[in-house]
Formats: sequence, C-alpha cells, structure tokens
Amino acid sequence: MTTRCDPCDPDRLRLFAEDRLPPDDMTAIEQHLEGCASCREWLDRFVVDDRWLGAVRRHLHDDPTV
Amino acid sequence: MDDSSDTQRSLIVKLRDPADTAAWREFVAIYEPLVYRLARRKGLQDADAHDLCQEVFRTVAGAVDRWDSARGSFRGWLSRIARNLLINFFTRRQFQFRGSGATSVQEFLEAQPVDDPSASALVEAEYARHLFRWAANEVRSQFAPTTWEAFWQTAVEARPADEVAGELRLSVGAVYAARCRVLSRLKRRIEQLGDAEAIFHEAEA
Repeated sequence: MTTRCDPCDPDRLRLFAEDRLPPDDMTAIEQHLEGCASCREWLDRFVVDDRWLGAVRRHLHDDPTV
Repeated sequence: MDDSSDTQRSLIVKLRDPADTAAWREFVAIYEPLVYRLARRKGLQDADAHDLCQEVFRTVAGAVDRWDSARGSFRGWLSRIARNLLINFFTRRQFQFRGSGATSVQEFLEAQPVDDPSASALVEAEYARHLFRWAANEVRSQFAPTTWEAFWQTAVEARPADEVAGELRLSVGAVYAARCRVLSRLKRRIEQLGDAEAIFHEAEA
C-alpha cells in the first residue's frame, strides 16, 4: 500500500528547500511547483528568510572568479 | 568568532608537521588572500604584499606549535603576526629611504595600536568572504552548468525563477530545485570546514 503525501505540506517544502528529501520526492515536488504558485511563494519566503542566502549575495555577488 | 571548532583546530594542529603538504596547501588557500588584502589595504604594493604573505607563513610555520586556542582565536593570532610584520616592513623601508619616507612611516606606526581591532575586523571580514568563494568554487564542479546558472541567477542575482527558467529552458520547478540544491551544498561544505559561524559573525559585526 502506498500513501500519498500532501505536496503543499510546509514540512516537506522545508525539506525540499534544504535538499533533504529522497531523489524521487525532490522530483515530485519539482514537478508540483510547475502548477502551484502558493508553494513557489512559500519557498521564496523561506529562502529569503534564510541567512545563508544573504551570505551568498554578500560574498558572491560581482565575483568574477566564481 | 569561534574559530576553534574541531575541524579548524585540526587543520592548525596539522600545520605543526611541515611535511603535511595537504594541510599547508589548504591553509595557504584559505589565508593567503586574507593576508594579501590586509597588506594592500595597509598600502603595500602587489609584490610587497606577496612578500608579506610569505613572511607571515614562514612565521606561522615557526610558531604554530606555540599557538594555544585557550589564549585566543587563531585568526586573532594571525592578524597580530601580520600586523607585526607590516610594522617590520615599514620600519625596513624607513631605514632604506631614511630622510624621504620617514613621515609616512612614522604616521603608519603611530596609527597602529598594540591591539588593532581594525586589522582583526578586516581579517575576519576577508576570511568570511574568502570562505564562501572557496566553497563556491569547490561546489560548482558538482553541478551541471545550467543548474549552477539557475542557482546563480536566482540566489546571487536575485532574479525571478520564471524569468530564469525561460532563459535557461528549464522548468520553473527545476530552477527552484537548483537554487535549493546548490545553496544546501554550499552550506554543507562550509559547515564541514567547521567555521560556518565566521560568516554570520562578520555580517553582525
């Protein structure tokens, strides 16, 4: 028996954002994002709040060596 | 900043063995750009800044077995070495050009407090910057060029995912996945080095 996961589940989206899902689940969410604007918005908000994104922009922007 | 994490400390301990070329290579890759930029900001020309880097590393090689994490951070110790060697450099120049450069040398020496927070802060900021760029160069080769580009355009350039997807001929979902995967890989690589907090300490300073 298989169980269907709610693709809009914030916990799963968080795991997707952190690249911590199995490959099949990553692919499933990747496909789900094509048609789900609210999940895309959720991910955008999640990433913006991530201090790592700020660090990426601060340290890699305008770097010709990368 | 906590730069006494296990990984960082283990690298520094390895430097006590001059034959450990892998450790020295990693150390130089991380710290040479820091010392070089510090030297340039203090007014040294390119060749002199490179010479100073070599002097700093020679000094570290000769004294690293005496560094004690209980007495302060490694980068604090390194910035003091660099500062002292900078003073030596300007002192030598004063001797060589006595009568012509004395004023600027004197000004430099007088501007250097015994404990130089600006030099330390500069080393910390440069370290954080270099750490991220080093990790990016390491991680980039692990992804397809379009995946890296999707990450770069959305994460670094802050462009909308749908716009980037159109340009790269990827699905929007693939662009989101690229951003998440590369960002996570960068994060893990820096965490493996054991000094992730350096990045955020620098940002908060």
